[in-house]
Amino acid sequence: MNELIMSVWFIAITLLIYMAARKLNTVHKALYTMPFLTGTIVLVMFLIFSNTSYEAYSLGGAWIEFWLGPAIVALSIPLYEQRKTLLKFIIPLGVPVVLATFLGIVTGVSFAGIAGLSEELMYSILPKSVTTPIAMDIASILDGDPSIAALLVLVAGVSGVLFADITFRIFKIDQNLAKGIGLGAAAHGIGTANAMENGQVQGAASSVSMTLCAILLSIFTPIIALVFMY
Amino acid sequence: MKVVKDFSFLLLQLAVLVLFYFIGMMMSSWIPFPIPGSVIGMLLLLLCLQFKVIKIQWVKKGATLLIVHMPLLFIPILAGLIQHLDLLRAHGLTLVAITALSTWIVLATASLLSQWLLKKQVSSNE
Repeated sequence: MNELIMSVWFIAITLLIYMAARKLNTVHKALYTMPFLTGTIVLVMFLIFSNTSYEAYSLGGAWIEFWLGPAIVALSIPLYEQRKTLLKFIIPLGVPVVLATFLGIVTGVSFAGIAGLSEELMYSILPKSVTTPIAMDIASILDGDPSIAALLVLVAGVSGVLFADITFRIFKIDQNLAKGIGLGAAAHGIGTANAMENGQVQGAASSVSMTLCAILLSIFTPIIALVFMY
Repeated sequence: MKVVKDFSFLLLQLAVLVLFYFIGMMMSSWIPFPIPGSVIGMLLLLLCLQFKVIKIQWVKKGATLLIVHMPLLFIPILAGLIQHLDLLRAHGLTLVAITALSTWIVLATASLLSQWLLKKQVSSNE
């Protein structure tokens, strides 16, 4: 098969799987029916059963992956729209975000060190708290593995949402703004989607917190690279 | 005709976002330290919106499309995990445990600190 036809074929398959996964998520809404979870499982099964190598699939997959870059650029729109919230709550928003970013790096890397994991895995864990595309970029910059980083971002998102209610109850966190900031900082997009279901304030706070964490980590990355790698 | 017009507007909006991404990538290769080009593009667009160089209506529809369908973009990447099955079999559980624990620490600290600062801000305003 010619490469162009193959690319189009793989793009079409991925779109089809995604559309079906979205449909399932609207019919049965739950954490485990999130489209990228079910979609990935179906795509992996398709690749295995059709005996397609990931390299071959990437001919088409790369065309979809490309849009991650512009999607990150697009995150400036919700941030711009929330600029008034951001400025009004700059201290209760900004200070936790800085600490969260720092703690996310330190705990992730030090636990990985204690567990005796390789450096490649350590750098794949490091960006787990930020949104997938940025986490992948950061993992590649630090010589981690982008797809493992993407998996751990997913794990962070799901576990953050699972822990949220009980954590908020234990620590008596009742302010929606504070809940949103925690969710955005720990569980990025998945946390934000969850926060949005609990109202606008929580959703907006989570969206701002997620984007700020991602920007901060991107700015920290060169420093981390310098400290750890040279 | 309206469909065609709407669609071309959407494509144009996406083109603006792609342009910012490319500019970000270019700048990222110029600066001496590694910051993702996509993040530089995001910050540039934010500046352009703030200083009214670009109106939000010019990019809003395209941006919303990309943000809503971001999960689609993750699928090809996550499928790349089939190249790492051995590694995941060996270290998968450890990776998940570390990630979950670290996530919980971040969640608890950020929301606790934020609530405390929020209450301080509210009481100092009264």
